[in-house]
Amino acid sequence: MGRAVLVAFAVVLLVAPTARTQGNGIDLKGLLDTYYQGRYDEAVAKAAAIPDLGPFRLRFVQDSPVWVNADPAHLEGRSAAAAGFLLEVTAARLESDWGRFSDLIEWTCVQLRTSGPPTEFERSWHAASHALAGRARNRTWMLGESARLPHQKPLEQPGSVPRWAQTMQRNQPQPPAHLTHALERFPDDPHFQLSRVVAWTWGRDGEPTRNVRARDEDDRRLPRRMPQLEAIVTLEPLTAVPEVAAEAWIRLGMVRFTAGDFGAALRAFEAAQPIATDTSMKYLAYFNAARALEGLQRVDDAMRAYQQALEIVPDAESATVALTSLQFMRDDRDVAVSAINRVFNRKPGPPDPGRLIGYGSFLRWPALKAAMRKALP
Amino acid sequence: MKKGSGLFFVFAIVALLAAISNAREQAVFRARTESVAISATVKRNNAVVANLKTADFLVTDNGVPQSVEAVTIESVPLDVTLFMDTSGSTAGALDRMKANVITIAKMLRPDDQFRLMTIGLAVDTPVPWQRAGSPISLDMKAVPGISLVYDALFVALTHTPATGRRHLIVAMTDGEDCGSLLDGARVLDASGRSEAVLHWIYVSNQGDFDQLSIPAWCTPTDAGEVDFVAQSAARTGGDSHRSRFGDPAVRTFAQILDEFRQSYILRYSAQGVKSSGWHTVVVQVPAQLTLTVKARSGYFGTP
Repeated sequence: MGRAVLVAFAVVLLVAPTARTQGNGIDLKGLLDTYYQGRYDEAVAKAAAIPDLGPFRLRFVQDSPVWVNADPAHLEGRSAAAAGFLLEVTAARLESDWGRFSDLIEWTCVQLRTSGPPTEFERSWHAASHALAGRARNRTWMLGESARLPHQKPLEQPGSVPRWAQTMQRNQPQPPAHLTHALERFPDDPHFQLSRVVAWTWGRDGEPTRNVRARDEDDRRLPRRMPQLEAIVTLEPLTAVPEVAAEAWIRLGMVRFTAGDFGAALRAFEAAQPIATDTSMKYLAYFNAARALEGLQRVDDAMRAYQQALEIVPDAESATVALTSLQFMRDDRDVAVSAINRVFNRKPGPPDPGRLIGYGSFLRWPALKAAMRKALP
Repeated sequence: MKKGSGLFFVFAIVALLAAISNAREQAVFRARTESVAISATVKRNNAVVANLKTADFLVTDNGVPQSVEAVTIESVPLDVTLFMDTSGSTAGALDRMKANVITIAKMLRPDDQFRLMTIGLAVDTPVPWQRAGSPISLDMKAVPGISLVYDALFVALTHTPATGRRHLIVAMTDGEDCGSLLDGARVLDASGRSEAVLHWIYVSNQGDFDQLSIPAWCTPTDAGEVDFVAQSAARTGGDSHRSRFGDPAVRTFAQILDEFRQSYILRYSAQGVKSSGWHTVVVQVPAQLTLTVKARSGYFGTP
């Protein structure tokens, strides 16, 4: 609790200097009223259009608690609305302003988790916040410094850190470890357990979407560190949990893929194929199997798997690029060009799962946002 | 001669003529073994030399001299792909990029076509192919933390222009790929099969990066090893340039466009070489060795 208060205080200190003389023009309470009345998109659009976020940040910290407490009979609902509103505004400004919202999200997390027992809204709010952090691949914000998986020993044994270093650590602002708060409140939630291991891989997995080239002789002589393989220990049990089994297999396959073990990756993706129920996971099971098959130099099989992926999400941009590059290399130009023209000679659509899989649960943001709205008390 | 066989003969002749005509048309700018077309720009210092004749050129295909017909093609309409790198590394220049798109589109002739490609969480085409001079509705935004340069170049390279047109790609990017599905080697391969001429204008954001946006997260596996973008440009007969977004980039584009319109197409039927596999092509002007020749460095022959 003491640390939570400290976080809240730090946020106020952080936002105040930049916005002390500003912020009067922002009607935060009006925006919250609009959101609370169910006019979600209208409230979010207005807030997202504010050019300077400094005043907005100050108003949010100062005015949202006042707005929540203004109606004691509906504290839970108003608190949830303020938290949901903040996440949706963050999503609207995510690419350019993630760093301007992440501390406010954690401040809001403090408000939610110190106000009473866990609620379904809090669970869905956490899931949505993890999706946004996924786009930023912000491991330390999610898990703190020196994040460890459940089976791993703590990095430093007590007493092994010199006294001077301990003092320095105390004086440094620590990242919030946002996901660990969700796990404390909902320890049995398999989605949060999966999110933890996925977040742990960020920065350890290189580029999960890139085709891995065959390693040449020089590469083979060098020892290769593959810390991401540790994630398998945590992922394997999750493949037996029905709610997350398909995605756990896919994540497991991706870890194998980034380590260059295409055979094991393929087996994992194939295990996901019959059990994946939603469109994104079905697509990813076939799309990634195709990529593993490419890694195994089984080009004909890879092309068939890409085509299966395209049957699930027709004209998906990622599988189109991957498949046509193989067709083009085989001088099957007309087929490749026809597909490229169909997919790219039009206004951009939403990115497909093959592009978003490297960003944790961000590929499910629309569904998670809808679930969060639905859970508003 | 029976009536039926006469009809068949006439039909066969018509079919044959149609096939020959079609083959000629198809062959205009196609890099195929049956009729190879190589784009070449010839310069003396910085000035384009546009008055050369067939006999001035020496073209070798896998080391074998070829018999060449040279044609200047200034009047040929163009398909111009402009690729703007809208990733985080160049995002600080977004306003200048938008202004550049508008200015560049106005440089084209009425019978040219134009499209704009950008990159975000996917390869985007905010301006699909449209006639030059049509109003442009621009919706460009910067997406940091990912930079799908290779995938975008591949998509650009696959375009096949209609008969009698040429395809010019101008890529304004720092060339640093991050997160593409394809690796640089595959883009290089595609450049050898493409009918386009690719020019790379190196532009960077010069450090104007917002630390509070989405951070970069990629650890490119092949960056720094091989300059795939520059090699791809050279393979198509294009070049690499350095510039800055804003007026300098527009001037560089204008120069590329001007030289492209005055470039030659050297056409020949490959003789004395196997048709399949990679064909290295060397173009020279033997009588004037001080001239600089930029030409497609080869093509993949069809088996």
